[in-house]
Amino acid sequence: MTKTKTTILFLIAVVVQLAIVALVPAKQIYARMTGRLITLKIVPIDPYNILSGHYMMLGYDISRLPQNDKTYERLREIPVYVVLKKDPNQLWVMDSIHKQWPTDVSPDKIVIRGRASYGRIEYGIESYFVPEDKRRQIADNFRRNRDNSYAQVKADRFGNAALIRLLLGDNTYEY
Amino acid sequence: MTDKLPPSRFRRQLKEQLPILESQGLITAQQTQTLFDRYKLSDLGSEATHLLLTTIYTIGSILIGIGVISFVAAHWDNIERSTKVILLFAAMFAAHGAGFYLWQIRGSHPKLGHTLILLGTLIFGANIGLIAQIFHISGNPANAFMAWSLGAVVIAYALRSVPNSVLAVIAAIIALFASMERFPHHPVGWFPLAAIILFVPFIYYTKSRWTLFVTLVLLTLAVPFAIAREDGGEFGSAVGSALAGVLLFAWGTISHPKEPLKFIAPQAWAFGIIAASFALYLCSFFDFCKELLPHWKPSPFASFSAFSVTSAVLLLTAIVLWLFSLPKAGKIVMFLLQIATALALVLVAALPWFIQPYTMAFSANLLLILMIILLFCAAFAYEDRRVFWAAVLMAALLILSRTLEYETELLIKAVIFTACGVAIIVAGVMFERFLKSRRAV
Repeated sequence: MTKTKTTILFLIAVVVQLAIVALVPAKQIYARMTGRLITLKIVPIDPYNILSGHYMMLGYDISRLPQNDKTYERLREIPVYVVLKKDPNQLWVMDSIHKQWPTDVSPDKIVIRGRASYGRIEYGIESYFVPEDKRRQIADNFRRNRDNSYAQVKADRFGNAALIRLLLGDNTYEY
Repeated sequence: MTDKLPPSRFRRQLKEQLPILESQGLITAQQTQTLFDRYKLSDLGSEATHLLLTTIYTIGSILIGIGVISFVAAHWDNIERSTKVILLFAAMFAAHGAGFYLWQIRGSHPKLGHTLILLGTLIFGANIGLIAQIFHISGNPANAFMAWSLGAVVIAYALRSVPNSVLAVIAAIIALFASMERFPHHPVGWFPLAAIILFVPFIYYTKSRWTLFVTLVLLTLAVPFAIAREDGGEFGSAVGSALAGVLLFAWGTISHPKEPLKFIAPQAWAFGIIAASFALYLCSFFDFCKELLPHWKPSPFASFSAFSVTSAVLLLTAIVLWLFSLPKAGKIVMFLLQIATALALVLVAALPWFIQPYTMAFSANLLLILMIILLFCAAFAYEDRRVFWAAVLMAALLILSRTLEYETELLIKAVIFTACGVAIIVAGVMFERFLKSRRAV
């Protein structure tokens, strides 16, 4: 193999690696740039074990399936589309849940995409990575402010969601 | 005479012995020189240095990789998000760039350069996780490892780099286990096919035994995972194992007659036997069949594999075996072993519709015994110690498992265990004597 050919092949391979890494946050970057900022209620998934290694596990109110609806309970890894609406407290709550992209959504509502799994819906925004030296402080704050904790998320027009910041009591965390 | 050199230990000893032999007048100086050239004894020192350097470089690059990962994972918060991303990419490019320069462009330090490119791929894998962390993305770790595997295999092809290919296969194996843990509907069914498409051409391309070995591990695991997942039954793991067994064994048989691919045969045969006998071993437990067989609802995929794959493989290998040469008397044994692996697949994948759990367990035991006998024959035909001890191990495992499963009286247990021990020792002694007599002839 000639040197030029090897060089070209190597450059292509490195570009492929670059593209793979760039694709990882592509949807989130798009949502951050174009999305609409919404505030969602969160609680610790496990109040006794808020930190799981480098990150906090967030449980969203909109992750819970509607109590009276058994359609989605037994699904595993099925894409679902959740319509959100604003409540009087300016929080976004679940309006309805669909297996296909809902077509007739009024402009004051938002659709975000998730996956139904084990009776919950996951949106890919359930982990919040926090700096090592602030972990304990933030986790304590989260525990103290269970009823007053919110996540701000940007949702784009394709239903992608990107986690922006946490509001725990009076503190705002954005890393 | 082939160009392949004997192990370096032998060559080192030879290098020490030659001057002594010469001084004793047993060989002439010219003969010493001829032997020196024949065994390339002057290269010995530099070869050892090369090996040492490769080891040191590899360990070093892995440590640096871990260092980079920990550094970013500490999630230093004073740096802007965009700066962090640029730093991560810079680290990856620096390792790749420096490696390529030293290995291919300047050519002064090929080994160091190659290792730096391996480091670049390690940093690439770390970057996937770290970028996800910077953007607070939660997801299935299996996807990250699959992406890593893909990026590594591309570099492996571009530079014929065996270390990168081995890294790619190991990442794929981790992805396989990660997908099992959290997400039952992860597309693990595509793993065997993807592994064959991605890694097997590389094995043919580079003739790398290392890549072959890890790929065989991956396939032996991925096929049972895929079938157990696709058909939602644990009995599927036995079916998949049997399928992997017959396919890998056939791969060995097909590769054997062609000289440049001959290196595939021993490993593929070994993995084929391991997978097929593992399937039979699972089914040899009556409880395994009783608990899982009634829940086993074979999908079209499983029945397709059982019938068509078996018949196609048998036909093909029969032709290959008879048209081309297999060594000596072993030809028939290898063919019978091929049939035994195929029978294992038919038994486990195709017969559950017709037979009861008890019959299944009984047949699995019988087939396993047949397999062990064939392995003993193969050991004698090829005069191979490893095959012999594998057969002994399987026989002992089978007898002990059955004894423990059917909870016979202590006295009977004592007799069986003792008999097993004695039989193993006697068999070992007999086999060694056989080998000795053969080699004396």
